[in-house]
Amino acid sequence: MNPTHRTGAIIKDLTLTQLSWASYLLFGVILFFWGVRLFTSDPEMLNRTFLDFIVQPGSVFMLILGLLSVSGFLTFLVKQGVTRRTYYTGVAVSGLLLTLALTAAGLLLHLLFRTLISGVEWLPPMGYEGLAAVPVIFAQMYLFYLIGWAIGGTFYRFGVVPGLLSIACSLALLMGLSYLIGTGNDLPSLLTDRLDNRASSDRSPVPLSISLPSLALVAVLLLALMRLMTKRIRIKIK
Amino acid sequence: MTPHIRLEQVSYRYGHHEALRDVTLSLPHPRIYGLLGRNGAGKSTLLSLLASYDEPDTGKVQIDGEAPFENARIMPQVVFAHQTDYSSESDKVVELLEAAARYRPSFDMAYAEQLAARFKLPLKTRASGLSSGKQSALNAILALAARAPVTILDETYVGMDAPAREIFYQEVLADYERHPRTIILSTHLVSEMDYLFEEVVILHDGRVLLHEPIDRLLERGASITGPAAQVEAFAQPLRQLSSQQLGGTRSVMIYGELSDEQRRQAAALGLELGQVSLQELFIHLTEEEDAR
Repeated sequence: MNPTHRTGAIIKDLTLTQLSWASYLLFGVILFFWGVRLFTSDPEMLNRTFLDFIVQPGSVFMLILGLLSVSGFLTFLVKQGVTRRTYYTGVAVSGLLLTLALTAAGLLLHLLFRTLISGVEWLPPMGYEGLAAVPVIFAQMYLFYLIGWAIGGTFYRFGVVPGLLSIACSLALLMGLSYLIGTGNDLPSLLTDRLDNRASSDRSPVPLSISLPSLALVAVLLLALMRLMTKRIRIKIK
Repeated sequence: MTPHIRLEQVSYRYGHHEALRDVTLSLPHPRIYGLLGRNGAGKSTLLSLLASYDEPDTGKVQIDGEAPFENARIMPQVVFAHQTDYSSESDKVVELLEAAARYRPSFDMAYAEQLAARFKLPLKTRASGLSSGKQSALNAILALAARAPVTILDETYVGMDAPAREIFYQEVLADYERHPRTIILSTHLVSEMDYLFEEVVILHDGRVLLHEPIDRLLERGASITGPAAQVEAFAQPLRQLSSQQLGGTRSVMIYGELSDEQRRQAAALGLELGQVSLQELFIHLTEEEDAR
């Protein structure tokens, strides 16, 4: 198998493996979405779209997948004779494809459920009108994946204390990113304390022309960091 | 084509601990090597450098003339079986074999299934549910069926019972005959596995203590038994590794080739010359090194 085919095979394998896990997440979110409609009368919950429902668990799910990407995939792949470069490409691209698939599935289900459920005054997803939230959701989930990957990589390569520091840095980064995403309402709940005043404000979401290039820049920086971190990483015998 | 392995003045540190010091080795192919050393001698570190798990701090590792680290041509040609923690592994045995078959260019799935049957390894069981002996059998299968030109087996027998170990040794030999390649067996079970080795490398405190074909190595060791005074006089100029005395009879283990003249002299003195096992040589050579 030549290196190009090998990279392709690894992207395919990693994407399919993670997609199989993502299917459980989607199933769970669908159940929760309909469960809320059956058992809650809170209008704020009932008026939230499926996109709003998926963005938080989707982001946390991507964070966890990122965390597992070093301890789970790196050792296995290098043990199979795969280079770190190919591993890096595989994880980065499969994460992108998975995020794309998850966002697309979320969008399709969002459109489907809006058609099925009538008489609801839907809240704009993440504060954005129309489907403008979709690229932001995509960016947010991929960034969570990259942040998880960075934390997992730091623990694996540098140990516990630097790993804990990387969590602190990631939280700071997420707080910074929250200024670029929607009105801040839809970041995972671990950040809601900081966002309380913004959540209650009437601010409009950050324009996509600012938020998307900024998020893309952060993603590129995180990807560069991960390449540096994994380029010559020592594989642990376990 | 099995690649030639060369290490030139390779050193490697874990923090303040120097795991390998100026290791220089040339391992021609195809051959079965026994890699021996006491705990902490640097065996696993050396093997992990060959498997591109890491790169040396100084010196050069070369396989087929190229550094293996991050080398897309060389890395698939090396398989490294070591103790693996499968406790969080959700895949079944067959899925792990299939995964290896996807990535390993020469992986033989039929052979892997045949080995699984010999080791009585259930294919449909999750790897996390296997006993430690069965997990070791899985590691052995993954390594042998990969048919990689450089096959490294680092204490792959751990947890296997005696019959399973015997199957493992038989399969190493049989598959080596069918597909000659470089096989490196790192082990503490020296007496049990010595018949497998063509050459022996002994590491001690991160250095190469010895690298010899096994027959030459065994020829160099001898035990001399007889009346204490004669044995002492005969062995005095020789390199003595150990000695034991029971009553008036003394037995000395020496290291170094005996000339025909010395053999005749021993016979004339009524001394008995015996063979020494690899395990005995290993124990006493490393002890001698410690005493220096």
